[in-house]
Amino acid sequence: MDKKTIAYYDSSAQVYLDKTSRKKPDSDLRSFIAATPPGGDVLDFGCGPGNSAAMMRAAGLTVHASDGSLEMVRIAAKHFGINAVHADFNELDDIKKYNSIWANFSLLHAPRSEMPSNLSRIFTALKPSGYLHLGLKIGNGEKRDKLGRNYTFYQPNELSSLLISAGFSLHSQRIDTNGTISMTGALEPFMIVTAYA
Amino acid sequence: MPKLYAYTDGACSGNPGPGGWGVLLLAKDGETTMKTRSLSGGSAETTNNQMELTAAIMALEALQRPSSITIVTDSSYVKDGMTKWISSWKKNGWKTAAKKAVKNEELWKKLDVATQRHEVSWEWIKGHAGHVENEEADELARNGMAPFKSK
Repeated sequence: MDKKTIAYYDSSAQVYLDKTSRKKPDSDLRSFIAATPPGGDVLDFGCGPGNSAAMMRAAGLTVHASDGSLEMVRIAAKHFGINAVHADFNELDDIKKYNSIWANFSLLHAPRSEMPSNLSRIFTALKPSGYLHLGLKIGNGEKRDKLGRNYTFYQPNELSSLLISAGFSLHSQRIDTNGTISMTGALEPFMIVTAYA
Repeated sequence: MPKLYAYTDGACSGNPGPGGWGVLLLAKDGETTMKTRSLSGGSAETTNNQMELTAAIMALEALQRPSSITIVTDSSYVKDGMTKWISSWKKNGWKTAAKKAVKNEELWKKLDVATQRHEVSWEWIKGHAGHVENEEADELARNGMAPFKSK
């Protein structure tokens, strides 16, 4: 993953925790929990400060987590007692381990050229018929935001094709043209796609 | 103060089958549109009524803060469900007057929860009758369905 992006998350982990944490799961996380068998193994892939992982655990799931920022991993442990692994996306090498994987606005920090292999890794790491939640920003190309984070943008059709090529079957897709306000204060279009391995 | 409107629509190819939903959110000051936002999505295996319900749920869940909003739907199923039937369903433990289980109970419950944060008015308009906003919601629903249609 991009060094500047990681540097931003390392330096802003606490701010990020304070600004993005919520007490209750939003509707996407509720759907994710509902799609996972009780007590099932889940991976929060790019867990950040660990807020979502903590809510998954509170819902009775067996939580695994990873993040590319060491400071995020520390905060997740300190604040929520989430023991996340410090790892890049391309280090995922589990086989048929998880019932569900949550990759919420994390894979957009990986280069476009690595998306096919990242999706294959996720596919392999999921149990058969396992569930994937994927959140990405909609657009073209790559861009660094004013906080220094590098983003790869995707078009909905492009992402569906990539998922299908990796072996997934699409379950649902939601496109929001003018999404929630990001950390930069900008309104950005995004998509939430769910798929089964 | 701008007023919020959500034009919602569902589409389905087969019953059940692949389907989509669409929402056109408008903030209007009188006749002037101040802001628009569109939402769309779909599922592989669903029904038309489920997509109509989903569109309304998504419209309400997309709002950041408690709002006063008018949902405009061409589905009398959704409008009547929310304005006429739901209170008796809740009283009767989610059974219809004929003592049968309410269809799409989970979605009705989700919609009921989604309305609690907001002040919602429901409006029905005839579909495919030239209402520009409704046509747009219909197109969003069709786009939402597109990725799930036969590959």
